[in-house]
Amino acid sequence: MTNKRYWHKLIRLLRKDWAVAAFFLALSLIGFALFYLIPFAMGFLYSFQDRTVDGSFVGLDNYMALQASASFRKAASNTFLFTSISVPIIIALSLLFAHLLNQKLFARNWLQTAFVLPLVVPVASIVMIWQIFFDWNGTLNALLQSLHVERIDWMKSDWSMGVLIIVYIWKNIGYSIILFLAGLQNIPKDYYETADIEGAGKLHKWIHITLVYLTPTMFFVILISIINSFKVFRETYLIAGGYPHDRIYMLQHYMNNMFLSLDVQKLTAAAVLMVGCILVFVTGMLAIERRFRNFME
Amino acid sequence: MRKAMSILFMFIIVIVSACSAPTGGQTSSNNPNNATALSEEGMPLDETKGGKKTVVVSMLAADDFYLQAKQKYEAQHPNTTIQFKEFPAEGATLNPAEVERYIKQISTEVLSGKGADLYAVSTIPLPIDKYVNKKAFVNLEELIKRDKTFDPNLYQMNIIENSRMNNGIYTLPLQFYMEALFGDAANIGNAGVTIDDKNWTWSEFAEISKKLADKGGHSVSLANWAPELLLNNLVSDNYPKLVNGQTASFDSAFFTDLLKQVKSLYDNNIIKSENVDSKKTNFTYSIITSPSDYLLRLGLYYSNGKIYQKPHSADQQSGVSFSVTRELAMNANSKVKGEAWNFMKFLMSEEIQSLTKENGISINKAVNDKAVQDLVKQGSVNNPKAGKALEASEENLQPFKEMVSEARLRDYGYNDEHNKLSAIITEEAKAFFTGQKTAEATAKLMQNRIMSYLNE
Amino acid sequence: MTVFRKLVLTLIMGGLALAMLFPVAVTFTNSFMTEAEINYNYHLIGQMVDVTAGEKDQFINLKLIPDWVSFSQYMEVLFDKPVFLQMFWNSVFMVVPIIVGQVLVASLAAYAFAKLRFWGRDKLFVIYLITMLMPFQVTLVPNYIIADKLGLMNTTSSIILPGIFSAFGVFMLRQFMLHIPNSYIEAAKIDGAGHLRVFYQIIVPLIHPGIAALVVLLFVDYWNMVEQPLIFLEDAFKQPLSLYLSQINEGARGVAFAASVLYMTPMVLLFLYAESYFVEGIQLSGIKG
Repeated sequence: MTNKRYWHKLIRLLRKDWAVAAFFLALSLIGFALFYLIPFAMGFLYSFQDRTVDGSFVGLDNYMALQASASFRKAASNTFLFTSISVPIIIALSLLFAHLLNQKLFARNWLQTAFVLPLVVPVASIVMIWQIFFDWNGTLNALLQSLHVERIDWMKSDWSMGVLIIVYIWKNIGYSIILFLAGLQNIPKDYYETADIEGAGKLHKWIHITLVYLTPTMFFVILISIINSFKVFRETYLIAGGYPHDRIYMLQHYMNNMFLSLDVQKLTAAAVLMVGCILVFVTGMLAIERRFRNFME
Repeated sequence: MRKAMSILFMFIIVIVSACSAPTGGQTSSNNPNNATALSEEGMPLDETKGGKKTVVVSMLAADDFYLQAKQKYEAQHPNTTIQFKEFPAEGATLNPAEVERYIKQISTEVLSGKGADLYAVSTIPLPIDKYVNKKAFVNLEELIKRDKTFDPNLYQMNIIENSRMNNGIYTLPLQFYMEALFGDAANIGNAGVTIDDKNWTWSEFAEISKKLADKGGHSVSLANWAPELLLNNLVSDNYPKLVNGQTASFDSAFFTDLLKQVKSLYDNNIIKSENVDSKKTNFTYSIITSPSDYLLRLGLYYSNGKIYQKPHSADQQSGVSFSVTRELAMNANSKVKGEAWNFMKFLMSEEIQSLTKENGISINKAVNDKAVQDLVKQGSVNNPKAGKALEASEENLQPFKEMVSEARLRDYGYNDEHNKLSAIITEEAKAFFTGQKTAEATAKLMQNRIMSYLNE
Repeated sequence: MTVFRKLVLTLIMGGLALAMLFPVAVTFTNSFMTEAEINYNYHLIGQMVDVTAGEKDQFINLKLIPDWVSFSQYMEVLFDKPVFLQMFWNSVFMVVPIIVGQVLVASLAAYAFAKLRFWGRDKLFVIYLITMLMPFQVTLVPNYIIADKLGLMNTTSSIILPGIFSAFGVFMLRQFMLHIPNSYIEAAKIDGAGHLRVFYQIIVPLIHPGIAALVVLLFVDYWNMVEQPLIFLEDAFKQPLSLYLSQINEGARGVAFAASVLYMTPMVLLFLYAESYFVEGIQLSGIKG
């Protein structure tokens, strides 16, 4: 692309909606910059400094220190494992349930409510019920004992990851169901009707209409599910503390511990790496979404 | 690729433009006080507002000691306001969630270069060693050296000196108590077991306890001492064998043997976690908070008692143990360091320290001497339980005075590694001591969790 | 759909729903137990039963039906702990402004990101997303410095303002607006409508389900927030209810369930109300895309 053409394109783009965009964005941008962008940029900067107050640049030292930490590597791989198992499961299940709940069932409103209710159960209650089930003296172990099977230390063995995945899915599936239900409403009904006239099969319709039209929603749900998968930390922390069994020692534990020991440098470096990884995924999703946009036009 | 490059480019622009304003501004405003402007006598100069100064002291809850000190200080220094910044909590003692909240709040303050001028530390374990590592607190040793009006002879410098961290004095103790074992001296003598309490470690204590049980001492050596506690004492004793930098060997045969040894001491009732009448035990652990407290306990526990040093861990030096109940640290970002230091000294003065004599030993020597003299003048201490009045003479109180001036073994306090490890050990060991899990399974869990900590 | 198929599907979903609801049911029924019963049933949580002397193992006693239906937990929470009601209203006065503000600010910004063309649009959007991914611990210290500079420390504004400008709503509504065919907008423009009119006459009505879902999710998120008030609100009497519930520990176990039920009620009511909006929301049928 020559320089001249580039400038032409730029001017064309600027002229197009620039002023309108500025109007629509102004309010959001001011607050966003103040409360999110600047703090984020400062945090990013901290990852290259040795102290938060009057720090001096240390280049990649913090990242080297991070790399040297076996606990960080363990936390990163646990988090990766947890996210890559639980997020696909929750997406598949919530999509399925949203479809079923979108059909004309008996007592549909009540069923929908039931799936979404776990979302509102407070941490205190979740923690207690979690303990009632999975404690060393818990109900599950009582069951095992009555079957003459050896007790399992659910939260202090490799099982803990499984427990975490179950709790995560139970709690957050309502979140994704709400979003998918709302997304399904957005698909114009006549698309299906047209497809029916053309004699398209169910699967064909699902892939070529439903899935395509859910692209933007899907992007959102996946990203939010990843963010929510980090939030299981709160419950886990209340149950197992800052140093749980190393199967569920996640990046959130690492970062929280780093904060409590005032090691903001390693904390920010870890966060930057984590966000960098998610960013690769986000860029991919945006590329897919761009194809959807072109398709819409 | 171009896409990625341009995103990165946006990124840099945003960061550069965002950071030049706030961080830059902050750095310049912080510079003068970090360089610490010094006056002629070498003491820090303060920022004032129209001649008025405010010293903010952060604490859990301002008790009578601090309230009275504030009143008196402000009366003597009309241009200074002492402001207490308290931490709201529901009950008298903090629950774990509140402790976490407290630590998070203070850490955020300290990290952002803000916060109170002084931090009054009491029972809540703030990660002070981490703050010190991040240079968030002032090394008070420099102030002590520079300040010509500070006379070290007036204070229990042994307590201050032995509260050192990172080759500096970062916390200033105001009040402390001592820890010791009272022992049934007559009975121990009859059993023919000699005790070198100036040097004994917890491992030796365990050996001696076994010997005493065999040789006709009381079968119970120590009561009211949880197995987890003894285990932690022994872990500290053998620390180099168990922890080496970033590796731990709690899954070794050595440690599982240690676990089993501890359990057998309890299985054989040599040490008990329940309370037992002190007269039926060889030793009783106790804290000592005042001269009269010392006399009372001496008479109460044994008819012919003697005081022994609390066993130390092999990784510590030997000496009389003490624990600090009230101390202060100064924020490195404070803008009124001079006045804050002045207030610290005021809190150490005889006038203020005499307010504390009921619930701890003072950092001020004169206050402690006076307490002993007052007791001697009184002549005796009445103890309804011992059923007799105890004579309070200079001679009787000599051991107490010696202990106060010799106390030099501070409890672990702010050693984060020690605190974290001992919390994990305490938590996991319960399953073994109650017979729920094997020593090996317990040790494996401890190793698992401790490694996460050590490798951070 | 045949009635038979409908019935089978309903039964399957009903079964799953019951499993999902079980913990909620436990919370609800246990809230009618007395403190003594709660403590009796659940005192073994986190404890180790001593079996060295040959005693038998004991287990936690999960119970659904109280021995004695009692409102003592509710009485204690509502009447003996005035701080509970205070914190309840604190939550309301923080969450409602956040929702109203964010829906307003975010829908405008989302329109720009979804339907306008300007230089750097997608890059700026990626930056919005990045801030959502940052763990709060990272931005805590900078946020603290900024709140301090703006004089927001220890005021509810330090919670509300960041809440309003969060990227969440922008992201969500942008995704919903992407669904709307551009031809609608073009058509309106040909009729002489400006962007603002397009926005509130076409876009807003069409994304009603999205806005309803956003309101519900924002309510849930901010009703449950713990970290921000923890640091920014120093006064106990300013803190939201979520902090009270996150601090319930062994000592207060006896009232945890009733407190939880009261805590959940506003969210459940809002959900039941909003449900009809995003489930049977405005259909796009009839207008050609």
